[in-house]
Amino acid sequence: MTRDRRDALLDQDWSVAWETLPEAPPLVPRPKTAQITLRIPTRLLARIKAVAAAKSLPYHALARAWIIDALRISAPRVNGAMGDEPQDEQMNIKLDNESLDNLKLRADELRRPYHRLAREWIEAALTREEESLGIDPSPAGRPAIKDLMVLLLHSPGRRGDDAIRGMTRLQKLLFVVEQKLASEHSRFYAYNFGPFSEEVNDAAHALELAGFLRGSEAVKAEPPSFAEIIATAEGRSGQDEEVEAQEFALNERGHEAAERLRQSSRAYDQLFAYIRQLRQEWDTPSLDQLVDRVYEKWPSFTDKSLIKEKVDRRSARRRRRS
Amino acid sequence: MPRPPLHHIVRVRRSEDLTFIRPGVMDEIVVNANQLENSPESTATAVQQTTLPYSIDPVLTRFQVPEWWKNDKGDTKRNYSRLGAAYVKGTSIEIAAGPLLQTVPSDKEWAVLAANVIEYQRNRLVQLRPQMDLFRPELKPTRVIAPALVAFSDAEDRINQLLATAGAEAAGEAIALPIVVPAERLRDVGELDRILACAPTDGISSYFLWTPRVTEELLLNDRALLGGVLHLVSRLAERGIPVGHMHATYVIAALHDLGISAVIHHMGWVDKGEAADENRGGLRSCQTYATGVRRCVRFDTARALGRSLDAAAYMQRFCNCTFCTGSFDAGQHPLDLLLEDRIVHIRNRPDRLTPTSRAVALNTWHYLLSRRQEVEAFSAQPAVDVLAADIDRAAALAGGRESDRLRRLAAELHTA
Repeated sequence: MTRDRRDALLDQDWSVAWETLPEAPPLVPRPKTAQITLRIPTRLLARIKAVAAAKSLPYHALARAWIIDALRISAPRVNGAMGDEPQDEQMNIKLDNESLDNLKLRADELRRPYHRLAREWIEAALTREEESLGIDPSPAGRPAIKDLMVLLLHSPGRRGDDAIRGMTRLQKLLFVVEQKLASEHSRFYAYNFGPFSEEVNDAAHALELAGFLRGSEAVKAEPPSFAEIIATAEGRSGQDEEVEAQEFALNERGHEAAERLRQSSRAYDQLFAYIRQLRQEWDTPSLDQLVDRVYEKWPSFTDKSLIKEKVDRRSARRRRRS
Repeated sequence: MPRPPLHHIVRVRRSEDLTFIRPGVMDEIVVNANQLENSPESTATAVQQTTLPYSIDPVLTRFQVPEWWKNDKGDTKRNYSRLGAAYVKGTSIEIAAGPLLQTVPSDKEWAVLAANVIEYQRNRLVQLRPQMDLFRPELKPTRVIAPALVAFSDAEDRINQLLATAGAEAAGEAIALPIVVPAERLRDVGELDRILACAPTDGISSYFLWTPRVTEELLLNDRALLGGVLHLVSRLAERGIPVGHMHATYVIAALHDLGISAVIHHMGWVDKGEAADENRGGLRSCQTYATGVRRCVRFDTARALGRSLDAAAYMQRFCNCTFCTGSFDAGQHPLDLLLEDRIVHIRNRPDRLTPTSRAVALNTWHYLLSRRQEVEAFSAQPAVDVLAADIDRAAALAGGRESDRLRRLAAELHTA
């Protein structure tokens, strides 16, 4: 700036212009004393948490940022994809009063309830973030196989015992649970003995390492003693006996964890009730019977089965008898 | 200035390995990415329970040669499909459609691939959140490892340089750089210098050497190979950046004084030189790690060497790890447990002796504990002193042949 220009600006009478200037923003951000409580589907909350985890941000803060961003650009209303999904989860988002007022104002302009508008903006921002982060939204909302397994083992079997005998039975029961919950994007695939998912084996091993299964102890954060060394080895001696089927049952710690999981949300409480019912229906005393029913009900998962003909013959015999 | 102790990292290659990871037996674990795809939940649980630091080996080398990612039927293994998809996100690369060098069309796509490999290591366990573990602390790898290829030729050297630079840039922090040298180039100092010229220093926190298919016996019997390893270690150490070995043995740990500062080894005690392709498994052979001679021997040899020894003599000559001493305290000779075998009947083939599952588990512990003792010994004392004690021990246990083997190593170290 030249000296002349600076002098001219200093000499100018600014009193008239002063009145036309917009009000200065407060120097200190207004406290977030307001809050909106959104009811959202469990699947949506899980997706928000997945994106927040990928960005290493708290999910509440992320959702708040999405709402503020949408307000800043006067975002239009967007149609949500949640449809009729039950809104079982609750998310409390703290806002400052001004943002809440602006949200209500914008909702009024768009003729939308402001809760709904906020939810739709969150969903739209979430979809954009998932795309940019390369996160597949489809599986995020599903309960993990580990969660399903814990709830399955927490349910009593037909004979009142909660143990499940053998990996084949565990695989097939979890397959039934997943198919009944949502058959799209199945984590199971057709394999040598019908539907299979390595996630089941992984989840069972995780529960064992966490010390949640009967006969297992949690892996410790200290060097192993001789007794522990022997215990891990003895746990494996049964592997040489080919006929011995492994038994899967929760111990006390496992049941406590399952109970905590069940009570973690209304959705999980309902999920447990449903799995319990499924186990009563499907966990037949005879493994053959369970396998036959699975093959009959979901034939697309038996394409690669090495025992398909055997199962078909067995099913045909059973039908003739009945 | 006192030397820092050897950093001891154990590689997790299969789900069963997770049972054996414990603080005190190792300082850190590194999980093969293909294994992580098989068992992310159990890996996360084991890491959380043991509180051990972890990192992920991206095993990009497995996509170099088709046989390395395919199953016996010739199909791409399911875990490699998932891993490959994560690595080529946002690119036009058809991974597992052919040798990697031929399927990446441009340097730009190599750079994206490098960034994806870094992102995979950082996020694979973070994204894993079953409802029952929502409140568990986030699992972050302790180091990020650059993607790298086996350096068969100049072509791989150029790509490795590109991957290292792009990987460090994507990570925004210094990363560990694997340098994978096949035996053919290891013998030629000129070739090694070309490889070294392509290994950057900027953005690199450590180097990890690996010489596929080079067994310990090969190293001890081929001076050119050992010379190659010594050349690589000393040249890299001169840069002031820590040097580790991705498949270390006793011989590699003995190079602590010459610049090796970290050793990584897996839980298999039979030295196969660690080829670049995946270990196919199969029936285990009846071999055990004989600590007293610092190598793996057949069951009958181990029995002849140590079964007749009483507790005091055994612990002085054969092994005094937690398992072996505990076994004597419990009134049982450790070799009775370690050398337990059974007959396996295989259709249309002769019956075969194989260790029982119990013996396999105990041999795993015994091997890990023995290796830990070796790492601690090389950390605490000069290599020549450790070797002198081990030569005496091997001579007392097995006589001249075994001690000569260690003497040769001592002589090489003395010359170096």
